[in-house]
Amino acid sequence: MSVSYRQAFVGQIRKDLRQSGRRLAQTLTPLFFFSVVIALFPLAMTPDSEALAKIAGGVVWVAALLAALLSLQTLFRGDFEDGSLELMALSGVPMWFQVIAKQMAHWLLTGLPLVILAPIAAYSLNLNGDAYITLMMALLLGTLVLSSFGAIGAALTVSVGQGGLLFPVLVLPLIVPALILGAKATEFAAQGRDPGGALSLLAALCILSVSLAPFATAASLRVSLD
Amino acid sequence: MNAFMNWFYRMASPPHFYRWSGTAIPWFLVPATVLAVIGLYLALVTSPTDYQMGDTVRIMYVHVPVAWLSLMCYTSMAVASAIGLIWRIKLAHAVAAAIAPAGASLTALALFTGSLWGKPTWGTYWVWDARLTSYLMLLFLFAGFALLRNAFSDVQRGDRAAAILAIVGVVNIPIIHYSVNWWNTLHQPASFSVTKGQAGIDSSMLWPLFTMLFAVTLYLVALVLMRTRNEVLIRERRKAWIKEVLVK
Amino acid sequence: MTQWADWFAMNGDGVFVWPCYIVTVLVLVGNLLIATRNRRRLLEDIRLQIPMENSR
Repeated sequence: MSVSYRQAFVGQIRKDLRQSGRRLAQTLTPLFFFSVVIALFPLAMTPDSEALAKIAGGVVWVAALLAALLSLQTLFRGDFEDGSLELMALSGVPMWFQVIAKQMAHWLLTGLPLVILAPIAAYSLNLNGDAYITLMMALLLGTLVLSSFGAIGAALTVSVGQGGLLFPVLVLPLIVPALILGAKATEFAAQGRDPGGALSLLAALCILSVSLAPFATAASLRVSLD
Repeated sequence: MNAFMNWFYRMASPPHFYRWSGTAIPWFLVPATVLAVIGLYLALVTSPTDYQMGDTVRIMYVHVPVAWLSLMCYTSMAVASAIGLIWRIKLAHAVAAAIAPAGASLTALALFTGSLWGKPTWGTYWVWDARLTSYLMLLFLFAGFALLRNAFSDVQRGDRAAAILAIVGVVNIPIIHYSVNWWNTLHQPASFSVTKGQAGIDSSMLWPLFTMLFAVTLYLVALVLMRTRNEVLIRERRKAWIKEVLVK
Repeated sequence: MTQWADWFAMNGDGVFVWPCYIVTVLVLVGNLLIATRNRRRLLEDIRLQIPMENSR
């Protein structure tokens, strides 16, 4: 009966990727959302490219954060409703391990595309040319932090009826450090200053949250399953 | 150790707690009131004005105790949550649930008094100062805890879910605080610091401060005991001991 | 009399100091009142529930 860890891990990622391939529109929604939010800022503030350049890094970060959260909200919803979450709990493979697999599949589908899309969005906002590499590196680390905390929030609210509204309230204060560090690193690079300090702090935060959050997520899922 | 754990478990059993807490509350509330009256007199009448801040320094005597204790509230809420999760003690969850609204109201007070202090010293009610911003985040964390707990129709599930959130939050508080601090120092070179003057603070200012701090601490213990009793009533309403306590 | 007025005005800072103290006292006392009101309601609820269960 016992499944090897590797099998469970790969199986989970495959299953999630296959499912989202079938629901392509749903998978792409966060990316559309990201683009729409980016487009709102010039409309709401000013089309003046100098003014936009000043806020470009921050705007891209806020938009990416909202898009990532939007998609993370339902990370466990489907599995909870069709009962596969209970199968996961009974499979003998530790829950936190499978949580990492789910997070990774989700990150491949949302986090990574956001990292790739971000420079285009930043270009439309006239971000200084030196900052693109930093922006992508910061987002690479930042989206991992987001998905770690987002997974905790998603697991806590998965069995709650009004979970959709509750989720951002729980998660947003927790991801403030990632937002600050990521946006500042981008801003520093755009101003020609050294973003190294902010980036290494973000990397530390990334390692910390990626390694610890799955345990909290697994514990939260168990609460919803009991 | 074993004797201590036995004592602990006995004190933490809901019927036992309900009985001893009932007699304990006045023992905290009465000294709290007395100290508060003395503290108010010291703070508003006898304490001197600051040579820099003038009379606004009197705001410190409410602001600082409230701000310190709101952070204390979050920490003890997280500790109670952890105890509840690890040893499955129902009373610990009840305590955590009782602390949350008390802590949230103290955090809101810290923000309110802080911004009223900010107007005469900084010239504005709100700046994105590191302290104000981290306390705003603290308020959100308290709100999240209370909202999550209430979102579950089953009390015990809500308890455990909220407990996990409290622990995740308490790990995050220092990170939030330092990141906000770091972010803030980039923007506000040498803003007025509340703590800066305190190294050489005069004893005429320390006395009212500590009196008020002590008064609010005692008040808080009484309030949390009262609210925990209510939480115990909610959780144990179908138990036989409650009927024995009530029907006499 | 002016002595009291001076004290109350606190050199013009009274506008900031007094609201702090008043709101703090109101909130702290309010917390206690809410707790006692909740307690009364809970006890009433439980008292109502006892005869219902006995009659079953």
